Amino acid sequence: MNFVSRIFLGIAGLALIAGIGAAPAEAQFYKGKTLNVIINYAPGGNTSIQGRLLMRFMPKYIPGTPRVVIRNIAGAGGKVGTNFLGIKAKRDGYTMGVFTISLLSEVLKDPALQVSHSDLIFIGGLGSQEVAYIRKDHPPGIQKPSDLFKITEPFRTGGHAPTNTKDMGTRLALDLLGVPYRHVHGFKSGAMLRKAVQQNELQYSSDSTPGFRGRVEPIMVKEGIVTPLFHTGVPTPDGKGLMAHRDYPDVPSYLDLYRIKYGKDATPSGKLWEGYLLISVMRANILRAVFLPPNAPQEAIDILRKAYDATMKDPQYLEEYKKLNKGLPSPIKGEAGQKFLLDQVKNADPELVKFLTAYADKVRK
Amino acid sequence: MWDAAFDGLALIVQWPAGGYLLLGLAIGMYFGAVPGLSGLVGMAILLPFTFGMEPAWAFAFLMGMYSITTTSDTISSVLLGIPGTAASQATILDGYPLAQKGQASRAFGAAFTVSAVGGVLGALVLALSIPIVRPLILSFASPEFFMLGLLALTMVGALSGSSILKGLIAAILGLVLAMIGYSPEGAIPRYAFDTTYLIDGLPLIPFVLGLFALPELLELAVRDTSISRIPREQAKTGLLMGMIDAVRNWWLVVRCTLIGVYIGLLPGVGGSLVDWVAYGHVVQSSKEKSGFGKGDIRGVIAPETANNAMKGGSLIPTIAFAVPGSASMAILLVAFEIQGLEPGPQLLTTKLDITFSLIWALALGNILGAVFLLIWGRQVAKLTFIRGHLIVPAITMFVFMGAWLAGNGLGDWFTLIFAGILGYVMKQSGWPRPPVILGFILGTIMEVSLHISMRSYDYSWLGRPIVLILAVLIVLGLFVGVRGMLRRRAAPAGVQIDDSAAQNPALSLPFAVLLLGALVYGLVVAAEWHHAARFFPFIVMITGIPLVLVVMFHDWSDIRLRIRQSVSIAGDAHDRKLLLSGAHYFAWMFAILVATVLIGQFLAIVVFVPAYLWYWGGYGWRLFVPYAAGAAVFLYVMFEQIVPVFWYESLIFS
Repeated sequence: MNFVSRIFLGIAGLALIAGIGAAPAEAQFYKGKTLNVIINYAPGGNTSIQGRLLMRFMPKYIPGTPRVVIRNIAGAGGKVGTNFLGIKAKRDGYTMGVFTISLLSEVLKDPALQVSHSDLIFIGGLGSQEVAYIRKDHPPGIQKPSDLFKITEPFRTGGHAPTNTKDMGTRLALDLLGVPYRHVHGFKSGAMLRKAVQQNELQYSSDSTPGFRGRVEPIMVKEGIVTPLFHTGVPTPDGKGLMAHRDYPDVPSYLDLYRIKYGKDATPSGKLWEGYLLISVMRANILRAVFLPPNAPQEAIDILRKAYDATMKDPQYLEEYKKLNKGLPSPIKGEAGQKFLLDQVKNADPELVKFLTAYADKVRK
Repeated sequence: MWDAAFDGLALIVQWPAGGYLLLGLAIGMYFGAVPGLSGLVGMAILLPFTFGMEPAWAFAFLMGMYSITTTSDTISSVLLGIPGTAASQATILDGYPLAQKGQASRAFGAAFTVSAVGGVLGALVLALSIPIVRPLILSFASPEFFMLGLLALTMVGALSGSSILKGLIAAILGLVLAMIGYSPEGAIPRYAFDTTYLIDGLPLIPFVLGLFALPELLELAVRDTSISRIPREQAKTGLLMGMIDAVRNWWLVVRCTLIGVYIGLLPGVGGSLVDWVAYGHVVQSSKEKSGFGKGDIRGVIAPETANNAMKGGSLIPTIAFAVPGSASMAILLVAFEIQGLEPGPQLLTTKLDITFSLIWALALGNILGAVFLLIWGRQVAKLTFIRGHLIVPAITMFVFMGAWLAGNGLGDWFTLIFAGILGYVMKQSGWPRPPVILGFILGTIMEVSLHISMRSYDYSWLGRPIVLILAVLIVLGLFVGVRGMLRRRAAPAGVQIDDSAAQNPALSLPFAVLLLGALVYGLVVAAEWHHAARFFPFIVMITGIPLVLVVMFHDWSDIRLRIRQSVSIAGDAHDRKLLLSGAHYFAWMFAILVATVLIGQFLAIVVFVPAYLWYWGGYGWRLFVPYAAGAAVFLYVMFEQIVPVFWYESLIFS
């Protein structure tokens, strides 16, 4: 055996020893422990469904297989649970959040949110699309997305609160398209919005992918009550545009619809577009997120990030996910997500924030 | 359809579906009986276990659990005067007095029987209505919901005993408390006093537990009687008598079934209201009202029928078009998704057998549950004859942990104790408590639907047909209420529900002054807000202020009259003793809070148990040591293993 191979073997041996040493240490961290999982919306909503699905599979990949206990801490649009994780939860790595996040609330400095998303430790997350739909029977009748531009009589759109991502996204999108509408906020949940559309109290609403696939498509689309209008789209690599999502071949992306009206090379600009882009990029990158509290032990961060990434490749998880979402997840990894959050929070354009704050206020009048 | 009904039955009685039904029943019995837990919590906890089950197994499991919670919740409502779930709050009004008279068994006999009947009839209505129900539900949009809330408020008359005026003000207090937190348009946290705890509103469970349970516990502690005021040997009436009561009141059972199904149909109204509506109905429709609030069996039959019937009703919109009739039904929708089932056309056509398996599970669950409880109820009823001091520590533990389940924070315990003091003062001064809860629940529904109605339709919603029909019903309700009040004034021995029996102007007047202050303060603060945020508060407070002034005038006249006639204005010596003990008792409750901060929640409760038994009960270590050990084991098994909570960390032992 020559010198090089000896060194090689030596290194391999060391690595092996290190490996043996590392594995039990890793396995020790969660062994016999309880991993507390907080979900920041009520049971029965999309957040809870997706979160509980994730937590059925993720523990498989956490060495030591801890007991997992899930609790829904809902309220104030997810902020009660987020505050709980950031402020009250123990920072020992045994309490974790599985959230739907509202980065817009943080950018618009919502006083109810007391922690910064960028201070929480990001483990992994999923982006989502938002799909808009409108009642077919609104005059003069909407059979296909482009019929939206024939409307002269304002339709009613619905949302939760003026600064809510859904409300802002809806208004920005429609203002850019220049269609007449009247926005009504105050609906407590997605279920209430869908019911209002069925009752013709509202004519237009939107849902994230699982809501659209699970509750809108099988009922309202299939029965011919609504026509899907557009999905938000995926951010282009430079982050300055949106392109069609692979899972929505039958529904145009927002920009596709925009170009039906303004010409096939038209590119939107101005504050309305910047605002819509900001919201769409946030949502497409991270809508659901798994967090540890600030200053959690590095060991826990590493273990959970690894487990999250492994879950995203678990065939059974993917199959279940596909059943609910009619498409595959668009995951974002730990460090990339952490960087994205920090970037969105710290580098928000102050001019745009000012514009959006005033824009949200306008609807209160 | 008959084939599907038969296939559905076959699905549910086969092994292992039948086994899952029984398991669900056993779990549900427990979730209903323990205050603070409910069918909703049960659904949330059981749902993940249905992954990987066949549809019929999953629904047998979930429906078995869900069907029985509103039957077993009667146990704590009757025995302890604490609602087992939100759907049996009204059962307390007559159920608890029955227990005090030594007739808990009778109340159980009646309640379990009518629960089964109501539940089965509800399931039957569900089965029959599937083809025709959709237009009915779709016709109730925001304007109709607002009017429905208003209609429900007119029932306050039936719930407020001898003083309709105090009842109305109590309802207004409930409406005001419901305004705490973000307004429907979401801009300003109202009346949150810069705390984040209140930013999302006052939580219902700690508030209800405090308002109703703590004052009852206090009375047990102070009087040191058993729940039953008469000894066990003299308590003759039993389960059988209650069952006969149920049969005798068959027409009431049918009416309350319909009320329950109908309320179940209406999304969002659900569990916490149905019992009140049924109770209001039985009082309004009865010729002989004098026994209500003092242990009239009809006061138990009405809510217990309706709250089980409601479940069949709430399944209708859930199955028909994925609009959940209640929060529990929202979870059931997820169970559908897990099973790959689509509510709407599919469940009503190709998968009709699955839908029927659900209906059968609900019906069978109701029957089996009632049979279990009827067999077991006699044993449970014995609890009412135990000395008060022996029960108080255990119940206090339940109440505090029940409140804790809501938000896992000390804020919930503050709410609990604050609501306890409020409830105690109201009880002592003749202000009825049930309307507070009614107003509290309706407040959010009404404000949200009024806000949405105004934004959607301006004022044109006032002309919608169902709105007009509801308006007529409201006027009729008011007319009946006022007529009832005038009659009652003519005959002083009228309905005296719950607290209004106590008349103590020396306490009532300061309470009214406090309320006036709160309303004026609320008005002043609201003046600064923009239109949408202050619209509803303005209407409510401006209605409330003159009403409070009238009550203050009444109380003042009463005090002057008593002075002139040389009658004590502050009640007798017993009343004064009760007040002092009340202060003492709440000091103990605060001590639990302080101890929690210092030594942690688990230890604080475990230490409270022997401390109470030793200090208040005069018991020796032979009793309090095993009692405390039992409490510790229970806390550990229940809240660490079964429904884990985040325990409060202590300053000292962290």
